[in-house]
Amino acid sequence: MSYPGRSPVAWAAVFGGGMALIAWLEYRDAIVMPWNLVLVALFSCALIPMARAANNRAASCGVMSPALRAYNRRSLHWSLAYVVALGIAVTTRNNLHPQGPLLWLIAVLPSLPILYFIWAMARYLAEETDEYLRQRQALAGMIATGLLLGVATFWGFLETFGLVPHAFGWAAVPVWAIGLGLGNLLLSRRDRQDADR
Amino acid sequence: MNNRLKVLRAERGWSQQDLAERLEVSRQSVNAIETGKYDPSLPLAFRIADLFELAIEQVFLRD
Repeated sequence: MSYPGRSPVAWAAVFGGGMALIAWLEYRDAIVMPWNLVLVALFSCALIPMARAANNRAASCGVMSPALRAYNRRSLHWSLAYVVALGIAVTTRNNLHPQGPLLWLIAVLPSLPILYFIWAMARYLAEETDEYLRQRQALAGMIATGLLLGVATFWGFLETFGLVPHAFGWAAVPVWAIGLGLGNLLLSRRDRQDADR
Repeated sequence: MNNRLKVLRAERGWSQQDLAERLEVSRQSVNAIETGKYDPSLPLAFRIADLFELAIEQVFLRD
């Protein structure tokens, strides 16, 4: 039996929708510190049931492996660490207005969980002993890379001609991660359609 | 590449999950190989053939 609470996509939508709402409120200057951080922390809680639902979904689809379980656990760690690091960096910048080394430190801080994410991806591919799952993840990675290249090119030209605002480089990883999620979703759907034929 | 995995499995009364556990791979891997969506590596193909006590060419067939 399936209901939204068991769907990782539903939890991802809660998280993504929450972040979009916060971005919109920020854009309209309708929210101030510390309520934006409170909302970020609140919506980030959706990552925990999302990870659990992803594990359950993978197990029910016959795609669970020890390496995938470790990867999902690491994904939860970096996601939560990213929210915390970003919160600390933004709060420090807004309240202390640091200069020099401290500014460098808080500017680098949110990058560290993202580097951990890249390492976790590499570890998964190295640790996965199931060659089909490894190939599937590599394929999802290629879908993600294709999406990132497409979006970057499209946005880059729109930006060059002054049609859209500047996009920061750090947006690359979220776009790639969305592509990875979409890739996995497409491949999971294909697997489910063919299951036990 | 075609294969006789489904027939061989049925002859032994094994589900995809049973075969997956014997091969120490995911059920989805067995399904992908069985439906011809994924061609296994040579080491895995040999493991499958060994499990059924057959030669590799008796399990995997040319298109």
